[in-house]
Amino acid sequence: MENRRIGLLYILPWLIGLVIFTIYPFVTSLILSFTNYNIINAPQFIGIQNYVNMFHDSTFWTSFTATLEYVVITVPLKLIFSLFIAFILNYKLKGINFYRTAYYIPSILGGNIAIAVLWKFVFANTGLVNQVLGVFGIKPVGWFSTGLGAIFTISALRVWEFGSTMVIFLAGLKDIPQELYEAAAVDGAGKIKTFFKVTIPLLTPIIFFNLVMQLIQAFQEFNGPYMITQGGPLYKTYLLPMMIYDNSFKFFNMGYGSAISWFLFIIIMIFTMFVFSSSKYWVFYSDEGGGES
Amino acid sequence: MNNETAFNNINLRMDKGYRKREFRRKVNLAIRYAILTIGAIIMLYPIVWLVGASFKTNSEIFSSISFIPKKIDFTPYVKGWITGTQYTFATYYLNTFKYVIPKVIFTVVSSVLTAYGFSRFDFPFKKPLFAILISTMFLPQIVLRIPLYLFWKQLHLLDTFIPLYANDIFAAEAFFVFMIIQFMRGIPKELDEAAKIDGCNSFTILTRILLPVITPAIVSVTIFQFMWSMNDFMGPLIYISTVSKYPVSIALKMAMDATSGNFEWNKIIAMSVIALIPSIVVFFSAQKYFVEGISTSGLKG
Amino acid sequence: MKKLVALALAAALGISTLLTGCGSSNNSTSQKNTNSSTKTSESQPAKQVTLRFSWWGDDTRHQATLNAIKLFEQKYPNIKIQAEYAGWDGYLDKQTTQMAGGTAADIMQINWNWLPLFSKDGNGFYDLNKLSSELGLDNYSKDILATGTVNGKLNGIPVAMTGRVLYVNKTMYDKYGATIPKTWDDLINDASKFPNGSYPIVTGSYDSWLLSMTYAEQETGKPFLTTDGKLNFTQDDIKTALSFYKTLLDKKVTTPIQSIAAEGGNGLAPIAQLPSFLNGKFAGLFEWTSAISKEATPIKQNNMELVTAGLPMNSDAKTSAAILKPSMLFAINKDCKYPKEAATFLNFILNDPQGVEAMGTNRGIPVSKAALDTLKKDGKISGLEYEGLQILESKPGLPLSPYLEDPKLQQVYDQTIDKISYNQETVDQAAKEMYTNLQNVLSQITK
Repeated sequence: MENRRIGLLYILPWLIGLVIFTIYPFVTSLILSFTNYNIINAPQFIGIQNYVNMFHDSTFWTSFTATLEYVVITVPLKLIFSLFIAFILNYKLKGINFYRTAYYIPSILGGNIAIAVLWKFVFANTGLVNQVLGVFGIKPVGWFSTGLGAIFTISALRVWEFGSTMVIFLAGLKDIPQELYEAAAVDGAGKIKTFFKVTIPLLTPIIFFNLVMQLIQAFQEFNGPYMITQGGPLYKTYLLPMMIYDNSFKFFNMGYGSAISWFLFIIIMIFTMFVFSSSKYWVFYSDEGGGES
Repeated sequence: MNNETAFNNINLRMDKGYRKREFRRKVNLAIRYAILTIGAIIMLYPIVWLVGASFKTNSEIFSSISFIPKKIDFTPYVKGWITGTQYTFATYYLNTFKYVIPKVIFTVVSSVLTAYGFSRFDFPFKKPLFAILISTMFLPQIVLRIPLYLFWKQLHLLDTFIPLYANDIFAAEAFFVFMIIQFMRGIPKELDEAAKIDGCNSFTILTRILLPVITPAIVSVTIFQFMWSMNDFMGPLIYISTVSKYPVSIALKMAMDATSGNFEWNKIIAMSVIALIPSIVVFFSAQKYFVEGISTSGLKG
Repeated sequence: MKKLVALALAAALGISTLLTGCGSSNNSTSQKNTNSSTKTSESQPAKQVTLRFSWWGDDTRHQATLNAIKLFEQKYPNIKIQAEYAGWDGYLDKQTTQMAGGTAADIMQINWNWLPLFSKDGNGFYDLNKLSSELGLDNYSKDILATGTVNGKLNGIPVAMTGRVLYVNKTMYDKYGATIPKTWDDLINDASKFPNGSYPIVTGSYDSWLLSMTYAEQETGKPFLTTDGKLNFTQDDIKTALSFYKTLLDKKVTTPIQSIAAEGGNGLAPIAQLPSFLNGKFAGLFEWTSAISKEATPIKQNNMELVTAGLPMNSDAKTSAAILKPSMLFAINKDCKYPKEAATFLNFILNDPQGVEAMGTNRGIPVSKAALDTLKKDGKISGLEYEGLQILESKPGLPLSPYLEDPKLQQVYDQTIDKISYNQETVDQAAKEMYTNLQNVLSQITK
């Protein structure tokens, strides 16, 4: 019983913050989604009109499809890639510090102007990627002029900025007790077997975290299309957050922007709930004593 | 241990297979370094290009992907540091640290406490509260901008740094809380039990047992929050209106204005190189905490 | 459930304070004002006033403006100007948030297309007609002041004008023996002289629409939009514009959007950053006079020359359809406590020779007669921008609608142009769809 109160005590700061900083703007934006609000004048209540308009808006559907495509391409690519690199950077090699920093550099660049410029050189018709493909006899791909191609250029940016996901994996790998590897070695397990039988299961809480966060972040991707494609070609990379931004702060249609935001909220919730409910089958927590070893 | 390997080595040297294995080990190592180096070149190219571009003219920058400038001239850096405003970059750096440092400290402390509460204790409404914690990340932040702005206006705290970090006193960034929860849940509860028997209370269990184990995670939180808030542009732009309080992120964008014709890319790029240095330094000095397997000692202790 | 209702109510209250917030915006302004006034009131007999002045721009603009402020404060020691400046990126976001919070500066530099956003009925900003003598409004022509007027109220004083003009890369035109186009037919003929992969002009999505719209207005003699935001073009008129664009594409006069996207990521990529523009393959552009130096400078760095071609017109054109608008305006906050002092400041930087010289031409070539005289005397007026403006002013077009550049309408233009260029729709389909979309958007934004 005493424990129950202590737990609440520890989360108290967060609870207070929730009441002060979160509930008020959340509820406000929910209410605004039922209004016509141009920021300057008073919001007018219009019922579910924004939501009705949304379902009849062809741009919205293009945007929603693009968002799903982007999520499906980016999340697995980024997770696999960053886990792979984290595994390599976990080696005890001379100079590994330098390599770790080097591999993190793209993430430090974040939304730096240089990226937009460089990405054009890399993915232009006569750019680096097409030249490399040309060596293998593959015809140049119109990266920026086809829908999926353009989505891929944004995905590539996010996958290339894998640093923070990689660092979290690396921190997770560091947390795996060395004894378990030694035990596996004594049992005569090979490297690959150890990876799948020791490393992966013990890393599942971290994999789970990265999966959830990558999903949420991918659904909220804004910088990529904003910097690189501006939603083009033909709105094939006009991801929902960009549409929300445009409607709220460019078209002064905050009510509509809020409505799309709450739609996105529901979509992310569905995906996250799915991942959470699946977690009992594949995530092993040491604190439950159910960890495989 | 050392004696043992030395002994083995002597034995192995007798072995004919030793040379073969040693050769294979070296090839293996060479391959690893080769892969790492190729990767590192790809990853580093943009920053190399960035440094190169800071010496180029506008037309050079957009004409070729090569990073080698026609001539080297440091005026863009000098000009960039002085800026075209009333203040130099030194002022903008100082301003940045005035809110980034409190932000990082508050985030680490409040996120660890909240995460500890969620991962180690049972309390009423724990499941719905955890669901709320996660769901605060689902709504795009831009639609919350105007309500929050009005909130800070009511408190007469606009044009101060407080709106930029106050929410982190209350563990408002669920990303960090969730991350630490996941790391804490990876630690067996037997450790806590053992410590309790030794006379630790719940707080000392956190500081003496759990924190040493999750040091890599805490370091990651520090790195991320430092970098993300250094790069954050919209927050300061909305809340700070006095130029003498501007942080680096705004100063940088300020130089990037393309509305009139005198757009010197090299100067802007030189400034962005200057702006990147703290993040690189912080990462390089923080990442050594990943090297030692701190966790092992924690578990043994 | 009860809790939820209570929360909803609380939030609704929050919104209502949000709205009253707009009315009582002087809070934060006056706070600073009282601070500074109490400090200095003892030593200074004249009332001490502090005014906030916000603008966006680049370093040269900041330096020039700060300089002008210094001179002003020397001349009027009782008025202090607090400078709040930033870059263009994100500026509208900041401005919007401040307008919503009632915390905008006393004196603001604003964009022309913000007038319908922030001041639909003319009450969003202070009515400057009330300050005509302090502002020296006799320095401006009626037509120019009309562009800053909403609903009979002068919301902003135009600082400079800007318009769309054709500029071409003379070096490349000479190389291929193409003539600098005077008519649209000239331009189309030039295309045949350019080798494959080179084009006489490059037009992004928005440029393409403005160019085609100009052509259609010349043909029909009708403005595309009325000044109060109604669609004046019929579906056939739109088709005239779009078929013209299609001709430009088919005859390889202008680059398809795909080619721009391939080099710049999308059809709105800045032309000054396209490698093919920098090496002369895309040899001309339809650009704002105020922005042309951005393209002219790198072309010059590559040893080529950009020249003013003007506004092409066929002999049967009914109007020049010249697009000419204020590049930016200065406005005064509707809740400003000291409008007279604010007007004194604006008069100083816009008309007073001392202020004008300090400000220079980095906000464009000023429209104030006094300012223009001063700068002409100093020999500061020349170059591509001035040439372009002179051409546009010598051939006045139709009254320009402030709604033309509405962001939502721009989205419709870009979408239509892209669909034609990507061969997603025929001109007929595109014209029909564009007509409906324009009507929809206009009914929303003029509501």
